[in-house]
Amino acid sequence: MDPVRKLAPPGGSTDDPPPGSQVVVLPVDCTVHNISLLRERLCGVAADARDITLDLRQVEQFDTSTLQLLTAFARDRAARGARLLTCGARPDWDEAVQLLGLTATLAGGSSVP
Amino acid sequence: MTIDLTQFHDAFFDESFEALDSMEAALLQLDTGNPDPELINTVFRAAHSIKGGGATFGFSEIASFTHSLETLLGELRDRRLTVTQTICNLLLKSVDVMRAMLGSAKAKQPVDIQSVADLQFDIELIIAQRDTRMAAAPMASRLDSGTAAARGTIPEPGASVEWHIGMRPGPEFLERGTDPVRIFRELSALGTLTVTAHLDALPSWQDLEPQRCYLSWSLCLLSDAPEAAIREVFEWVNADCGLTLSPSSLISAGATAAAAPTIVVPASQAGSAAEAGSIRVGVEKIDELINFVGELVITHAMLSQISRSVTGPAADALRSGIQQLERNARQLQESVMRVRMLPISVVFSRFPRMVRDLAQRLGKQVELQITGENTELDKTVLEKIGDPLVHLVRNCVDHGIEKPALRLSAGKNPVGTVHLNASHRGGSVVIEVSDDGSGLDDQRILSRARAAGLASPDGTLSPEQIRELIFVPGLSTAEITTDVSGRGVGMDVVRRNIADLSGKIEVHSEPGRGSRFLITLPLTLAIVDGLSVAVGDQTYIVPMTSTIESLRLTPSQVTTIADGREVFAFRDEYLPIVRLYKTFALTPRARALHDGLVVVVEGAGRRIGLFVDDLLSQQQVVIKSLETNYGRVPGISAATILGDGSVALILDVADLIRIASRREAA
Repeated sequence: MDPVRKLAPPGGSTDDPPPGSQVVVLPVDCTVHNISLLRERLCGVAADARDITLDLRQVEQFDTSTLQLLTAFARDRAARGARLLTCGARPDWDEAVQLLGLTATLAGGSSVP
Repeated sequence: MTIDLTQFHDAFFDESFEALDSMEAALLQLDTGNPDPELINTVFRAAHSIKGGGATFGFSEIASFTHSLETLLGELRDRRLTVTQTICNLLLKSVDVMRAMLGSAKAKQPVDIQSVADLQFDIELIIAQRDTRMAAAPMASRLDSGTAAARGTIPEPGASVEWHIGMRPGPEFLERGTDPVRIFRELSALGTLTVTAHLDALPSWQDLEPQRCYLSWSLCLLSDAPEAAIREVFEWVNADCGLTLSPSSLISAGATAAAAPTIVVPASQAGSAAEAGSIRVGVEKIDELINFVGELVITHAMLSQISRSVTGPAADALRSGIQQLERNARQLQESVMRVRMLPISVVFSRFPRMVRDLAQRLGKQVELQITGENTELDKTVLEKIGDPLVHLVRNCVDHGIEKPALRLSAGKNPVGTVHLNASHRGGSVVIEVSDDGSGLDDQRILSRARAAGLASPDGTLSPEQIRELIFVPGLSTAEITTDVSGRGVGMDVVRRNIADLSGKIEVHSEPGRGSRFLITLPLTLAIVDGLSVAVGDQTYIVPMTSTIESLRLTPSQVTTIADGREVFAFRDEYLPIVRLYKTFALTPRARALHDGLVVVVEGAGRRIGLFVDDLLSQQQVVIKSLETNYGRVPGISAATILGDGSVALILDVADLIRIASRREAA
């Protein structure tokens, strides 16, 4: 069998955060064991009406729990009329977002100018 | 970016060893003439599961070896290869090699690459030499018990099928370290994957418990991979994940698409159903719980003792409350003790393979019968009874069961039988190891014992006394010393190990009909039924399992022999008297034998009389390790705390008898 992969090759971004947005730096460990720390960081900016950019450059480990939390956070931002953007995403972050079918919620808002 | 997977290594090793156990059990049931496809599937799933884990956790040797093994199993499953005795032996060897590899990986030791490479070569050779005619077998017969065949959606080679997969993880899915990304990545390698995430259960981010899984997915996979390959991707999915898998339509070549009911895939398809309702708990946590329950039992005993001196209007209510506490404490204690209990099948399960291999090597035909394997026993007892049982079963196969020709000439079935049985009797567990072989040869035992100076040359011994000689160190009646048995070490170690567990072993034998070994063990080592005795100002506990009788001796019943040792007649034998106050250097209340009592005890195959001041009571006591908290004390196995808060020492009867024997010998 010669498997055909529909999923596009993962992309990624190493852009700096866009000016004017609130930046949240994600920790090195973004797995379920450290998810409370990420939630705390998001709590600190949740009330901000501006766009929020997640700086992913330090992230070394992540799993679905983080992407789930960010999905919920992105919906909240959208309800406030603000965007959740990302910068510094590595290819496996983008691949994971695509594999989990979360592109519309997460990657959709990650088009950093 | 990588996830730290080392945290899951222990779980991987535990599950892999369990998978190997089930693999071995399935292989031993495999009928080479007419193999049950489900057994082959079980073996395949176990190998696949280990391969997946090995690859995920970076154990490349394990992943590589199991990959070759899986290929061979795939050939067997799809009936392109026939199950033969040679292949069966090879698969059993593979189980051994994988156990060794996992053991090495767990201990962070290097793997024995040569033995792995040799076996891997043999496996790959068989695959290369397979009978290609088998490949032409009808497609339907090549399918295992898979459901697609039953529904008429049999994909032909090259036909792509659109599979609809529903995946709804349970709340703890993510917390357990299972990542859907890895599963979807594996699926995408099988074909074209479309993923739709369902966010309807996702609460607002403020209400979200971040460790909990709220997401679920619908997947559409267009693939020519067999259904089994798709299911295998989900093998590492935890038990709390609901899955549905259904083929939608055949896209190309061959069979007609058919409307098919949705198949609910049991989440723990490869595992046992029982696992779904269980959790793994560290033994140390259970031991801590047992320790606290022990403290509760002691506290109750103290309160109960204090309440006896309380008077006044509240006294009755207090005593009633303490009685209620006793009932609750006892129920709690029984429940906690049950947590430590494991079925003896944990130990028995090693014997089918061992007996099979031994019989093959010795040119014998042996059937192993196992009954009572669900009998439960404390984990610590189980761990320590394994080696003695191995000795006994080996001896049965090696010395007991005759070769087929000899059995036939004796009018017996050429296939000998070794029977392992376990049952509860009162507060003990009795394990029986028996065979229908030649039985013990009393004359040979006696002559060997005399030759070794272990029995007097002219003394007369009863058959029971002669059989007791097999437990004496250094005696072997084997004609040839092999690596199986016959080195004269074993039965004495068996008896000592069993005595260390506060148990005992008896042997019965009938010439030409076989032998029977009966092992009696306490249910648990955490609590013991004991007889409390007074010696001077101290209280000692004699385990009831070692106690035979207590009696008051008259001077006429006691004989003092030449070296000053005292003996008394008890049921046709003379037993030495051990004065406990001398052993423990105490000042007794009774020095004359008729002023105190003698407790007849048994251990290590011998009996002695322990002289004590008085008997106090019979009670259950909670065992507290002396060695952990203090150090080893000769003649003492452990300590306990009595109702008044004082400490009492528990006698190690077998050790006291050994001490007495050494004094006799000196």
